Amino acid sequence: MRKLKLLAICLVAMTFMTSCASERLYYWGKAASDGAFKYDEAAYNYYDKQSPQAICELIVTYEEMVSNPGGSRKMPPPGICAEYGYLLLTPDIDQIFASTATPRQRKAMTRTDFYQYGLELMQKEIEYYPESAQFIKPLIDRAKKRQT
Amino acid sequence: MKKTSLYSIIGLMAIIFSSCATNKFTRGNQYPKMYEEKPITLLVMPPINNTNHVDAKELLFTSITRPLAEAGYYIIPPFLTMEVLRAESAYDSELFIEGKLDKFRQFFGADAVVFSIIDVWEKQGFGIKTKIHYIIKSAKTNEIIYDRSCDLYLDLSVNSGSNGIIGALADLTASAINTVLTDHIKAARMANQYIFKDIPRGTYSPSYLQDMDVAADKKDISKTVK
Repeated sequence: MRKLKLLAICLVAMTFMTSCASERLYYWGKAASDGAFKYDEAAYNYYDKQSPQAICELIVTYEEMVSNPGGSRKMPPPGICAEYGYLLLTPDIDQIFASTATPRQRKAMTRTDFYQYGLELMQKEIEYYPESAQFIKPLIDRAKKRQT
Repeated sequence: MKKTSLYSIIGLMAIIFSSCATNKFTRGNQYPKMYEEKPITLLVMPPINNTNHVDAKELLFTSITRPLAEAGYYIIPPFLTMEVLRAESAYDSELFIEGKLDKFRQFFGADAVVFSIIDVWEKQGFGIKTKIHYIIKSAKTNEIIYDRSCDLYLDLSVNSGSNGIIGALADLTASAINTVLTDHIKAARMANQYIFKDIPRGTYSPSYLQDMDVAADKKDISKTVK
């Protein structure tokens, strides 16, 4: 009986504690021990180092986030498809990736037609987040014009 | 004995409840204008850097999106924002923080604009100190709808608990190495978490417009974390 009472109290406490915690809305890559996520590190390194290696790591991180969306919303976080797409539209980005990426990074990529994939991702951003259209649509039009 | 364990359980429950319980500050009474304006789309401007660390501006910029997106807002992609602002020679937020923000509404579709000011970004002793102030202004009315700062010291000292001079020297060495190897951004990310912890939840959060009574901390916070 005493054990049952203790168990009931523990259950109430656990329920209360879980109601205080909140589930993440999105998946940001694997979490590190210091609370940062893979996206945080990849974005930071891209700005900090500006190296071909940092670009490849950021591309692969974006790819993981858009191809395995998680969290409670089960879709990529706001802005990620657009950022990833825009990065893939950068001139010579496919060559940088081809010459620098590690075998693991190459394997992680589902597409090699970076330009077309980039445009599709930017379009996806508008599908997932219609409020982004005002800003993203002109960027898509500009990228298409640049190509022709 | 039986009474003692009951008291311990009641004590434990009291601690758990008090950590989550409401106090005089709530999201509703601290940030009422967020509930009036109901912004959906936020534009994060490049930080205003009042320190001598020139790289602080871009590095902090990489860390602002996640806590705000997790709070339920649509964040205009910061890398794209940066490119566009640079191309338009509008990269310095100092030029806009006091001005009219309607052009950001027209061009980016932003409901509100997020400004950040870095006042401290340095290693102090065996730790890192950052002081960051965030101001969110309505792109419709120019009014401040969220305003919060965090003065955070990330304590990186190592205390192994070993006695004697050799133990103390080993701890000093480990603390120094720990401080050298840790980037400022770790302290800044923690400050961001504290600053946006109490922001009223946005449209993509299940708590949208239902969190006015959730307990909040005071607006300006000072923390030392290990």
